Amino acid sequence: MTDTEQDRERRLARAFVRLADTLTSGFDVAELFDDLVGTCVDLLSLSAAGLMLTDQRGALRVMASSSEKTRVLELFELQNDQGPCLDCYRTSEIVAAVDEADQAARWPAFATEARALGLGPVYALPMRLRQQTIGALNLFRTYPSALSDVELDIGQAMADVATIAILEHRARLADQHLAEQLQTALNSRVTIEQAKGVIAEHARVDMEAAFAILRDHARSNNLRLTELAMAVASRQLAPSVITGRAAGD
Amino acid sequence: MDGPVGRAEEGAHHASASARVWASVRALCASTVHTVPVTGVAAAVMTDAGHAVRVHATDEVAARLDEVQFELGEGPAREAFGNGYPVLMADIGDPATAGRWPAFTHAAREAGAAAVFAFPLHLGAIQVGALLMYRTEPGELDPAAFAEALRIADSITYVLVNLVGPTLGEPDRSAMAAHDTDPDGEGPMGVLIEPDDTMYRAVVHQAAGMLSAQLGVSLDEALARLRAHAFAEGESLTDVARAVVTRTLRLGR
Repeated sequence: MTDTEQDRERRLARAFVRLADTLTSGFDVAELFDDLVGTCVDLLSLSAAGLMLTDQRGALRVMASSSEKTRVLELFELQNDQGPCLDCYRTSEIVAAVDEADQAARWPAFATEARALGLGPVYALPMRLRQQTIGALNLFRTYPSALSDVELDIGQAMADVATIAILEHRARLADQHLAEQLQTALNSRVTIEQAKGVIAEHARVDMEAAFAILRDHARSNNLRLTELAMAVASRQLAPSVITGRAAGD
Repeated sequence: MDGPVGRAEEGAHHASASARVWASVRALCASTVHTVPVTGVAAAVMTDAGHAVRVHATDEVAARLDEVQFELGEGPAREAFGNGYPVLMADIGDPATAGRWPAFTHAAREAGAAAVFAFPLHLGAIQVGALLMYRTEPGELDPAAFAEALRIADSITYVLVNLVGPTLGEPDRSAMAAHDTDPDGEGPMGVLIEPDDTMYRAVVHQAAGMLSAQLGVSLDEALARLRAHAFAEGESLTDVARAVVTRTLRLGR
């Protein structure tokens, strides 16, 4: 095994231990998913990663993204009409499109936008739960490098961890619990978007910086990201507490 | 009292804008029993402090189920509202289910319900209330019925968020008349009847957050203003939201 492979094995082991540890204590699903896509980018040298979940109403919604830039979020959102995540969700199979030409042939609008964002090979890995698929993990590389089989396996393992996270470890009526968890996760993402807007306005920063401010404040104050987002978005917590700026600075 | 509950309590006194919203909610509740296999539906707006106002009930049983939760201060609709996820009780006669709220399930069975499903009416930090459905026979909602129930809850949420109350003033009637032809399935108030995907776009929620901070208003009021602007200008909500987020559009008071 090369040094690089050994190093990645170590990082992979550490990542799994950290994720498993999170799963055993009370956790915030939005934070876990954010951590997970970040881990994917790091371990697999990706240019971008995103996690999509079914909203149980017939659409896929973004739950986490390695970039909070609006245009990247919209690249995931547009896959409700066409794209690797939609195909993956429908077929429950891994979808891979390494070549530009292949992407353009299969999903023209998606391909155009992916090119504009400088993204290359794309993969969608199913989040499979028993007989159903509840979402997809979307991975991007930059050209020309594709993912190896080993890397695809690691990606699928990450998708599996995300699926387990949705269910936690509580034993409940299976379908009720899935519905609760999915709908909670989806709503927490909306709350986070609202809070990003509040912080972006208050601190005069873009959405990416606003998300980082929220996440960093949650971490350094041992708060759950979703709860913090709720407090900010509902105006129970003044943004200045988080940004350290008074309004109008 | 702020927010949807305060406006709900004044709803009866505002003949135009609020009445249209109530009519939309009533229509959505009424249509539910045709598209979801349930017997009756009740919609209520709620606050964190426990205040609740029933907006509509399609029959006596639904009204009673809503009433009982108000009397007891507990139940599936309150839980759905408080926790932000659906509460699905496919058989309230099942001891495992009934054990959660014994007083409620007892009263619900006396009223004639055999299954109760409650859905939060919310959009992130905008928490409007809850939608309760019941049926006279036990049984789960299958995935298609569940999906439809969620869509209806989304529609009702959207309608209620756009409740135009005294703080926002009367809508511009000439603008309403100009958009009479209703191309997006919106009623004359710009109130969305059919759900569409603009409600799920990140940029819309970000814009609501920004506008809320800019104007010092609640999120639901910010969202209503974005909708009103989009409708008045004949633009999509997504385009208006993007303009707000990229700071090329600034909406005044």
